[in-house]
Amino acid sequence: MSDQEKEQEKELTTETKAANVMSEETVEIKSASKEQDVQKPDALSQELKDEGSVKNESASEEQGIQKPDAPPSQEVTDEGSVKNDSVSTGVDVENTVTKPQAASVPPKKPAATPRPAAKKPVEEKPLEPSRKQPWLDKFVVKLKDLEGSEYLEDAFINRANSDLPTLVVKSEWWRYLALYLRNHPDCQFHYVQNFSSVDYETHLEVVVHLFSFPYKERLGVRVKVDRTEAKVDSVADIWAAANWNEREAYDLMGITFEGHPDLRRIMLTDQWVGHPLRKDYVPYDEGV
Amino acid sequence: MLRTEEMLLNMGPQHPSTHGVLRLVIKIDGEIIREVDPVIGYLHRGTEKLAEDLTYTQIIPYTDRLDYVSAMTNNYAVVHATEKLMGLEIPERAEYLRMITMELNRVASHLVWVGTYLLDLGAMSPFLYCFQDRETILNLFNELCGARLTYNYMRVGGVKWDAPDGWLQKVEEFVLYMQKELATYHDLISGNDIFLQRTRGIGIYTKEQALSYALSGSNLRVTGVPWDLRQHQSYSLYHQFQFEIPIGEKGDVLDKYHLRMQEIAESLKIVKQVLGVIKEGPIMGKVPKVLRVPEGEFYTGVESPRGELGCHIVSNGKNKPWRLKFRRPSFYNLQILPDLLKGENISNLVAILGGIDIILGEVDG
Repeated sequence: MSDQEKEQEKELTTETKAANVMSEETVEIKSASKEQDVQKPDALSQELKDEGSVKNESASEEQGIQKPDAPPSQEVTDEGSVKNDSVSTGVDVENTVTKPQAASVPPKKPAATPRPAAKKPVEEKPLEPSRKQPWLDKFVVKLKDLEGSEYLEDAFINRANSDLPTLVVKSEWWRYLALYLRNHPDCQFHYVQNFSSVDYETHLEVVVHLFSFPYKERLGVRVKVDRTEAKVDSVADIWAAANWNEREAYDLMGITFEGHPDLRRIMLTDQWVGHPLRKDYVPYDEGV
Repeated sequence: MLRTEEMLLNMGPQHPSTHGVLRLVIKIDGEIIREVDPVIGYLHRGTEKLAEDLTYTQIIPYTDRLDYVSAMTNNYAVVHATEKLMGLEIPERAEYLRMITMELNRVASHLVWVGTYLLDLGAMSPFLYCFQDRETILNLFNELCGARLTYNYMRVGGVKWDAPDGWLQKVEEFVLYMQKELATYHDLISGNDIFLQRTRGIGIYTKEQALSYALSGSNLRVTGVPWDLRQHQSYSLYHQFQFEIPIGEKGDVLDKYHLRMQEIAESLKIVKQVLGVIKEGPIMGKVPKVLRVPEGEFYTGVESPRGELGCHIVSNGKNKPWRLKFRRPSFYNLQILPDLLKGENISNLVAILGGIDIILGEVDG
C-alpha cells in the first residue's frame, strides 16, 4: 500500500481524525496554491520529478522552503493571465498521434517529442513550454500503460485556458478512464468541476473538467461521441454529480448514456421532440 | 402500532417553501420520507441555446436572470471568461468596482437566504430585518446602474457606469453599519431555542458525499473543506486582499447558518479594504468594437454566493459563441437532496431543502 492510499484511509476513518487532516489541508492548500502561481517552470519540473515518491504534507513543506527563491512572476494574479493562443500551437507536445483502433499498443515513445513547428508558422518568438507540460508528459506516460490506451487521441495543454492539461479520448474508453482518474491513488480526481457537451457538427463531445483535491490539479477530458449514434457509457456511479448532468446532456444534446440509472428528460417535458442544443435542431410544431 | 401505507405526496411547483418552482414528488410512510424525486425544469428558458445566437455583450442581461438574487456574480462569470479568452487588460478601477458590487451582492444574497430560511421555519421578524438591510444594498445598486435586481452592469473590458459622486462614501457607511448590525442578527437568531432545535443535527452529509456530488460554496465548506475559488483559483484582484474562508464542523444546517453569517462579515471586510485602495481612473479597457473571441475552448469558475459558477465557452472565432455552458451551482447542490431526505421526518423537509439555498432560475437554466 502506497503512502497515498494510507493517507486516504486515514482521512476516512473517524470524524475527529478527519477534522485533523482537514486542518492540515487548509495549510496545505494555501501554500500549494501560492506556490503554484509563483513558481517558475523549471522549478516545478524539478519538483515534479520526485513528486511521486513524496508524501503530500512533506511535499508542501518542501514547497514552503523553496518559495523564497522563486521570484514572483506575472502569473500571480490569475489563473488565466497566460498569453492567449489557439488550442494547439506548434509548441504543444503531441506524443499521441491518432492510431487505428485495431492496432495493438505500440512501443512507448519518449514522452516529450515536440511536434514539428512547420505546421503553423509561428509569428514573433516561439512560446516557452507551459508550466504544466512536464506534469502532462508524465501523466500521459502513465496513461499509455493502461489497457485501451490506443483510444487516447490527443493530449495537450490548453494554453488559453490557464494551461489546462486536456485529454481527447474516444467514447469507448471513457468509462475505463473515468474509473482510473477517480480511483487511482496517483490521480484522485474526486471532483467534477464542470460537465458539458458540445455539438461540433462532425461529432459530439462530452467535456468534463475534473479537479483533484489531494494534488490540486485540474484536468479537462473531451470525450468524442459519434453524432448519428450518440452513445457513451454513463459515469453516474463514479461521480454522483454526473447523474443529473448526464440527464441534461441527454435531454438537450441527445447523447444516450448507457447504464445510467434514470435516463429521462430533465429540463424539457417528456413529450418534447428533438434535442435543442444540436446545431441542426428544428422546433417541432404540431399545429403547422 | 398504527398501520401505515406508503403514500405519494406532491409538493410544488407552486409552494412558498420551494423558493420558486421546484416540484418534489415524495413517497412517505406515515411521517417518514422514503423517497424523493425532485422535478425541475419549470423555469427552463434555454439560456444556453439563446446565447448561441447572441453576441457576447448581448448575453450579459440573460445571465442576470439565472441567479436573480446575485446577478452581479453572474455578469462577472461570463464577462470574465470572455476577457480571458480574448486576453484583455482590465483597468484597476473597473476591477475594484466589480469586486465591491460582487461582494455587496453576496451580502444581499446571504441576507435573502437568512430571511427566507427563517420564514420557512416560521419566524417572521428576521425576514423583515434582513430585507430592510438588503434594501439598502439594492438602493445602492439602483443608484449605480439603474436596476435593483437585473443589473446588466458589467461589460467585457470593464463596467458600464462609474460610481456616482458620493456613492463610495455611502458604501462605506453601509459597511460600517452592517458590521455592527450583524450583532443584532446574532442576538435575534443565533440563540433562539426554536431555531436551534429545528436546525441542529439535520441535513448532515460527509465530505466524501459532498465531493462526489460536486457541491460547492458553503454547501461544501460546511463539511470542513476550505475551498473558495476567490483564494484558490484567484480571479479579479482578490489576491490583494485579506479574508478568511470560514468552514463548518458538524455539517448540519445550523453550521450553514453560521457559515453564511461569517461569509457576510468576510465580504464586508473585503469591501472595506477595496474602498481603502480604489482610485480614480478609467472604467473601460481597450476593447475592439466587435468582440471576436479567438478560436478555442475555455472554462473558468468564479465563487458565487451559492458556489462555483462556471462558464464554459467554445468559440469558433466569430462574434457569437459556438457553445456556452453555465456550470450552475444550485443545479449541482440540489442533486444531493434525495440522499439527505431519505428516512427523515417530513417536518424536516423544508428545513433541509431551505438549507441548501437554491435559486430555481439557476437550477433550471
